[in-house]
Amino acid sequence: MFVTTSYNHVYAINAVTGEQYWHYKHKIGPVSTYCCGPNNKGVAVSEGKLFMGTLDAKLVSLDAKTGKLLWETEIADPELGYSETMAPSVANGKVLIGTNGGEYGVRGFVKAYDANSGKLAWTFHTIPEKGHEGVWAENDATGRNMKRDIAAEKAALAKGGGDFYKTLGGGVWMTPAVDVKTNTVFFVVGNLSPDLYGAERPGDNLYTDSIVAVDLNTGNYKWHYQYVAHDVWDLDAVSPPILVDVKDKNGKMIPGVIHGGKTGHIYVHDRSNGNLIRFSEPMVSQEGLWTLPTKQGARMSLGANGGVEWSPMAVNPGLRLAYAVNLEQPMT
Amino acid sequence: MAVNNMLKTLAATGLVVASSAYAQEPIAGAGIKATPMSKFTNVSQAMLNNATKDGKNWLLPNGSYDQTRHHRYHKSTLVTCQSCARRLYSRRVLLSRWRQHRSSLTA
Repeated sequence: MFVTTSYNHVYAINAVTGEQYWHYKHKIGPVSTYCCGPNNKGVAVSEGKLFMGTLDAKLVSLDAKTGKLLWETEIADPELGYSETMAPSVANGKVLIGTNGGEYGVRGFVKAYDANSGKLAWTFHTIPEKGHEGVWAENDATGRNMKRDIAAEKAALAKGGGDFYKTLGGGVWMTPAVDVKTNTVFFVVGNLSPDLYGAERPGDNLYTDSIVAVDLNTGNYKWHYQYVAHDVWDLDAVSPPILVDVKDKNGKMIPGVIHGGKTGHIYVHDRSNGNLIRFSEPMVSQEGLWTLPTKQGARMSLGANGGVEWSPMAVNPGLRLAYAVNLEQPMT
Repeated sequence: MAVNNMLKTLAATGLVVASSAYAQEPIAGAGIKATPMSKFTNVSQAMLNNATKDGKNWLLPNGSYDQTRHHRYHKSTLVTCQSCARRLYSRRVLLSRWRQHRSSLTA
C-alpha cells in the first residue's frame, strides 16, 4: 500500500502487517503558494512506477519497489501560483494531472506526461485564449436566471479586451475519470480568479465551473458543459466525475457521466456529447438564488463550501444508487 | 537586566526557529531504513483497465477509471450471512467438542 502525507511524503507499507518498506520525502522548492493546506490526495501506480504531484508544482516518478526517484519534471512555475495536491491518474502510458492555483491568478490546465520519460505529451488549457466569453448564458444548468448584466459585460469586454484569460484561474483539483474504450478523459474545472468579483472578467468565463471531455491521446477538446456561467459565488465544480450507465430521456441505458456540484445537485450527462439529461433535487437548502454580492453583504444559501465539495461521490452499480456527502452552509 | 533581555531575545529566536521549522515541513522517516519487499506485483495496464472487477486491490485514486469508488470484495474476504452462519456453526461445534473433552478429563 502506498500512502502520501502532507508536504509530499510517500510511504510504502505492507498492507497486512503495517511494516514500512520505504519512505520518500520530496525536497520542496523554496517558493510555494498553495491552497488549501499542504495536503496530498495520493499517487498513481503503473508498470512498477509511482507518480505524485508536489506542492512546488512538480511531477515525480518513483520506483514502486524501492522508492528511488526515477524522474522529476516541473509542471508549471510555482512562483506564479501553481501547485499540486491532486492525485494524478495514469492511462495507456500517460500520466494525467491538473493544477491548483485558481485563487492566485493562474491559467488552469490538464497535462499528460509520458510515464517512462516524463516528457510532456499534451496540454489542455481550461481557459481558452479565444471564446472564453461563451454564449452569454443567462441561466444556470437548472434553468434559473443568474441576474447577470450581460449588456454591461459585453461593453466591458469590448473596451478592455479578453486578455484576462491568462490569469482567469480554472484549476483542476481532482483526478480525472478515463473511458479507455473511447480514449476520453473527463474532468471538472474549478473557480475563477478573482473568484467573487466579476467586473474584471466579463463573459461566461469558460471552462470554469464546467465538466470537460478531451481526447486521451491528443488532449483535443471533445465537449464541455458549464454549470454556473460568470460565477461570482465560488460555486465551482470540484467533485470527481463518475462514469456510469444512465437512462437517457427515452429510458434507454447509455454510457453516462455524473457530477455532484457545490450547487447541491447531481448532474447526469450523456457521456458521448455532454448533454445534460437530468439533475437531482437539491440536496441542500437553496435560498435567495442568485443573490449578487453587495457592499453591505447579502445572505445566500448555497455556500462556497458546497453542496458537494471535494468529498468524492460513490456509486453502487448493483443498487444503481449514487451517494453524495453535502455541506449545509449559507454564506453572506 | 541585560541577561534578562538576552534570555528574552534567545527565547524569541527559539520560537521563531521552531515555528518556521514547523511551518515548512515535518521531519519524518529519520532512522528508518528501506526494507526489501518480499513480494512485489507489477500493476499492468490490463489490471488498471479491469480495476472495477478487482476484488483484492484498490489500484487507482478513486478505485477505477470509472471513479465509482465501489469495491467488489473478493469472495474469500466477503462477509456474508452464509459465511457468518458457517463461522458461528464452526465455533459452536468446536465449543461443544472442547466442553466434551473437558468433561471427559474431569470425570
